[in-house]
Amino acid sequence: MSDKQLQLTVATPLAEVYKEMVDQITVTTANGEITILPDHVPLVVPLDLGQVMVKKGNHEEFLSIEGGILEVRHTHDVVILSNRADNVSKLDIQTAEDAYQRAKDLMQEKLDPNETEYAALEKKMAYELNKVKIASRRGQRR
Amino acid sequence: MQTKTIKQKMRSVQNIGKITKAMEMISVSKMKKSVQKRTASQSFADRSFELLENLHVHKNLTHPYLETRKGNKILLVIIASNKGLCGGYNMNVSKQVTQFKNEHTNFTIDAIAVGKQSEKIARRNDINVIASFNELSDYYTSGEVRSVLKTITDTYDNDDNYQSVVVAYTQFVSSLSFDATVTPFIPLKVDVAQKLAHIEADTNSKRKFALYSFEPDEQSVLNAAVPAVLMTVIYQLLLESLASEHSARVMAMRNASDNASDMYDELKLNFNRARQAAITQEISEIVGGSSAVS
Repeated sequence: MSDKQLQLTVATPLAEVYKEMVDQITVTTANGEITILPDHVPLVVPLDLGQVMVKKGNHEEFLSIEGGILEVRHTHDVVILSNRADNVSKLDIQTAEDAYQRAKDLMQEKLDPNETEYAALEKKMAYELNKVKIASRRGQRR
Repeated sequence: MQTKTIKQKMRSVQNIGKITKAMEMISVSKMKKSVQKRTASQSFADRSFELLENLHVHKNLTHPYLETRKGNKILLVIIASNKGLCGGYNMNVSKQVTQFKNEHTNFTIDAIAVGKQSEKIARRNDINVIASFNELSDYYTSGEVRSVLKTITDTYDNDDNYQSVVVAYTQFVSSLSFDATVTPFIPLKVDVAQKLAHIEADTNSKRKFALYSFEPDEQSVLNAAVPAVLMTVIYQLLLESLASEHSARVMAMRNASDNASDMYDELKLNFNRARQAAITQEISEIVGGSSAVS
């Protein structure tokens, strides 16, 4: 591994979720997974709901994002803009599943799909499920 | 008894002072929270703007929300408070709206009101309100911001006569000063000239910018980026107004508390005087009575 690193920033409208120097980033785009290494060509690509895997040396971290835009700049800056994002590295499966269940219950209370809230809840549920998936996949790795 | 009525007044003034003091403290904490939220979203806003600038300058891409349109209507979004008791906060917004209306007499202005007071402002200025949001939560959830934005963009999209969208809001400068202003919102202003000058100065980065690659293609990236930028802009404007509202309320409540304590002091002086007068009168009555007897 070279001594070059990437400066990764994950920002949502509510907060800056992640800002660190990393070695490698793997994200899910509309056309499949891509991995960004230092000296990558400047790139802009929309992302899907999914995970961001970050590698620092031998250490791996996982973030959950609800879609967004990835921008790789020529200055070794990598920016991910997303509506919703969380660092799920320290999240255990149980907590993630509980959150998913809560979101699901909430959605079932509002069964009318015409309500404006419904779409938001549906999105939230998909996002929580995504977190569960990431947390459980990570569990298998270890 | 005069002393009794003064005593009653003192008590009520003291209570008012207590309430305004409490309201002041609540507003201080609310102001801090809204300022903190605004700072937290600043990074996202800056970065999405940078992205948009990069796209706009280098590829000369266009998007409906970046184009200037011809039309005779303007959509005005008014952001003001739900509650009163915040000094001149709403009045300043109202003044800006009036001024804006006078400057754009040959346009038809329609309004979207955020906050109960905004509706009043619009009515006072004789502006037609097409939508109003006055049930929003304390610090605006992303869903609420999205629905405000959707109302704005839908209105703009469905009527070609809208030339632009502007927002009347209150800019938060510090906890002691804030300015009500009217700022353009759509079409989005990307400062191309400034950006280009910046790149000319740094030819190296210009060469590197040219290497930007896009997946799947430039237009779809831009289509994804523009709504994100609009969303952060409106979110920031809402939070700035919120921070201003709370700091205006802090100031109004501080003044009220000060006045209450001044009033209390004055009443206390009056009370002491009245009490002393009563005692003096009593003594002179006794003295007068005894001298009459002897």
